[in-house]
Amino acid sequence: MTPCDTAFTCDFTWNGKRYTAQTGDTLALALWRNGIMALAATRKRHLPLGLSGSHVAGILVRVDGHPNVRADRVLVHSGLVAEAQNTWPSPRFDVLRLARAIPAATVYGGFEHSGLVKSGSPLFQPWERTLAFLAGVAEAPDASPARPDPPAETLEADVLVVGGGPAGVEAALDAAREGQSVVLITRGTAPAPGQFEGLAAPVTIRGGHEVFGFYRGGTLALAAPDDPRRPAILTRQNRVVLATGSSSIPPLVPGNHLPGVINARTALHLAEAGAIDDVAVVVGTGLEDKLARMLDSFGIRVAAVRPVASLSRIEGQDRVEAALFGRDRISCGLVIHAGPWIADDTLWYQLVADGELQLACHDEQAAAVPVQRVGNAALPAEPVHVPPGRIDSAHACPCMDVTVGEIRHALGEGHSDPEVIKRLTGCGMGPCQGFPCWHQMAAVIAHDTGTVVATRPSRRAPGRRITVAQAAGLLGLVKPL
Amino acid sequence: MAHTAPQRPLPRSASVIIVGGGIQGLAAAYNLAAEHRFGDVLVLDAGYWQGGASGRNGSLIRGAFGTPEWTGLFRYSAEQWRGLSKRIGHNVMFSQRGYTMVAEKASTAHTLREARKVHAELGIHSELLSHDDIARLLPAIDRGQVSGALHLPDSGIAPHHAAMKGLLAAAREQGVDIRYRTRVTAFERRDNRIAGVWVGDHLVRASTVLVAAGGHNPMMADLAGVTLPGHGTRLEIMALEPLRPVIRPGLAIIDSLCYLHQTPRGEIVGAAEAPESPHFTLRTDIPVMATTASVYLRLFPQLADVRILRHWAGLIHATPDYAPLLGEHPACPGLWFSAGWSYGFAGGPGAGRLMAGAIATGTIDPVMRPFAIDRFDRGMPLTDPTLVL
Ligand SMILES: Cc1cc2nc3c(=O)[nH]c(=O)nc-3n(C[C@H](O)[C@H](O)[C@H](O)COP(=O)(O)OP(=O)(O)OC[C@H]3O[C@@H](n4cnc5c(N)ncnc54)[C@H](O)[C@@H]3O)c2cc1C
Repeated sequence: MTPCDTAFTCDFTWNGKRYTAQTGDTLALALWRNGIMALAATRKRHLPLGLSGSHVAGILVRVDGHPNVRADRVLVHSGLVAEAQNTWPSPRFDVLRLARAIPAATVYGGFEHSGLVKSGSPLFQPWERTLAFLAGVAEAPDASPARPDPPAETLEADVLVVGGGPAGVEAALDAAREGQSVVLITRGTAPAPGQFEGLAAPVTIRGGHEVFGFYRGGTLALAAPDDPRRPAILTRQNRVVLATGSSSIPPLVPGNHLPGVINARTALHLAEAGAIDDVAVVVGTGLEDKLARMLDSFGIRVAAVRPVASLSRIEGQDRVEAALFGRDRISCGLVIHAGPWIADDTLWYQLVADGELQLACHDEQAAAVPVQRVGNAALPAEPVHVPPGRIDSAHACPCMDVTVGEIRHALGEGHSDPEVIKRLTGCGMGPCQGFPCWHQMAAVIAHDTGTVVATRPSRRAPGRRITVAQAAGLLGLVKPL
Repeated sequence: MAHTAPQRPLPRSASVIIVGGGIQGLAAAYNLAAEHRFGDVLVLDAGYWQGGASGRNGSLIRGAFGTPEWTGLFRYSAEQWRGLSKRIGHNVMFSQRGYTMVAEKASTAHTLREARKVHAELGIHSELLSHDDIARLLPAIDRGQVSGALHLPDSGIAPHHAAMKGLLAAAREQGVDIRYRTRVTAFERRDNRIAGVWVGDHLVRASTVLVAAGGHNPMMADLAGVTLPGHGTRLEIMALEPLRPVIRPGLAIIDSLCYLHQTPRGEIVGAAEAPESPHFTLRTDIPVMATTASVYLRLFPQLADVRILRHWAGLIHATPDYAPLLGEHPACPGLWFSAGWSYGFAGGPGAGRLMAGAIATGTIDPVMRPFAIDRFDRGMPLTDPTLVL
């Protein structure tokens, strides 16, 4: 594998055509620079999806024979071959796109609630095979020879800090100054190690890893690297600090799945890389003006800056073409959202949840170790605005292709228990395991029924972070209880 | 619960009260109402619809085991599955895609050959697979690891969401009153007989109560003041991210205590057991995930870089022989159990119908009889060599 670093640029292939990437580009960034924004298609109706910063399904592509590779995490190398999934017979000539013409209501319930052909009838077996093919989305990996599983790395410390932003770094420094050893694990780039030298206790840092699961009340945690060939990490600790930040979640309006709807962090990342030349509309819950000024400093044209609650619809065929605020239609190529901000509480939930009939946060005492949330992770969730009018085609859960209309259909049939609606629609059962889609589903239920949704989903690990081989590398490291 | 719609008040009496709205409770309720014309059947469930093991299982439906008793019950239930969509008028999506028991050790291949003989005696269609058959049926498996395989063409899977949705709707259409988020807190007994159940301070009277509370059955027995063998424990299971079909039949990898299949949603769902002492919680732990992954890696090397989507737990009631406990409790007339299930999803439609028949007519079907609650007292456990859970 030749990385891009020798020649400043290198060539790669997308859907059978050659393109050029710049040094250090991720595949998603390289495609974006080449004007390719639609990278994937929704499961049921094959609507276009792309890089969003919010939903994983939009960036899963096939790379060099491996399915479901995150295009935003894989670096382009010379000769890389990538293609879109969920197509047939080929990405260039994709008959499955015709599903876009199917009325949404006919595929409510998806692949496990298909009433069309009943089991027991002679047509059922072929029908079920077809369903399984459609639902599978990705072709299986190319057959590979057996290979040894990478044994996991084990790290032990007094404190595990999750997240390497300012709040995480500060928590790690505080603990180490007090003489407590620290393991800090973060997504993305690791904080510079120099600042942790000469403290009363050591700080071990791992960047490019995501902590995805807590076990046994928080005494154990698992993290997985972006690179599937590297081993997972098992940590043992006596205290946990969650500095996992918060994210802006997409507006609940029709067209919110379209490529070009991105969150503030993704927009800044693309802007810094000099990859944006579209006109942007910026919406938010208070930080939109600040974000617009930052984008402006990168030379990005911002056509409008408005509260997210005034947005009524996003239009476009294969990508964003306009944002509508009531009757006010603004042409743009991007809708960038800065709010509502919600902290993903998956890890916290795993730490404190227990139960026999339903996992629930009885109280924070369920955790066996002290747990602290710091920085933005400690802020309460901002409310999700449910606009008036017809928003049935808005996506609550793009990964499982669940719209507001589908949730309303379930409500209309008399179901109001979110756990039941989850099982009827699949909302929240995709790669994100409920974030941010549970918040959007809960907002619709609360809006329509006038009640507060008090429960949360069982935010199940590992949320497609760890591979089979990496998990096999954990064998023997933890004794069964 | 703030989000549940306000419920109608509970009735003061019912013909039969069923404690637990999992597949066992719903299937029995449906048959009581549809086949035996019972009115006023009441199902009470403490959790949410599908919150029990019936919404958390591996969805495998296996119609034959290694012993005549197990095979008799599960063959009957597999027959029920095959006709279920038509019978209840809802699509349960039973997929007759076959079920393959795979032996890694030579001694287990021998066990499968013996099981084949049992099947032949009982007139059950099962096939010992040749190397070529395995290549055709299971292209993804590493054939070097397989020393034998027994295939059951009539078995299969059904997505539990679809099955539970169909049974719930069908039972309601038959007039069964089904209440979720409604916990039974005590049992009412009169002169040693069962007389009803309590939901908080509300008594519902009934002369027949069927307990089908899954992992909570031992607690229900305690509440009712009777003893039941076995204990509640969690089972864990995990799903890989969706892929287009690579594994067609349901699979039991006997030596690795592993079962799996690929759902109609493309996820490979299954688990391998890691020996742990009983835990009564829905939390998951690392050993089952690691063990399952290492079995997959060994048998399906192609899956090495496929990611694990989610991992969850459900509760079952494990008996000393892992066989169900079916029938009226000898110490409390009127109190029936459909308990001790480890293959209770596969067994649901069959046991539900047998149980309804027994309650309605008072005669126990020969297929159900060996599973009587007092079989351990009589020294007749039902151990089977082909179990995997
Ligand atoms: C991980 C896993 C994998 C499995 N795989 C398979 C498989 O592949 N094939 C197979 O055949 N079987 C499988 N099983 C077993 C199967 O799921 C169960 O045997 C079956 O679902 C039991 O059904 P049930 O109706 O008896 O219990 P459940 O579905 O557990 O229902 C019991 C109900 O009782 C309710 N309840 C509890 N306490 C009270 C109370 N006090 N008052 C009122 N209601 C109460 C609960 O809320 C629950 O809904 C698996 C189980 C698990 C956990």
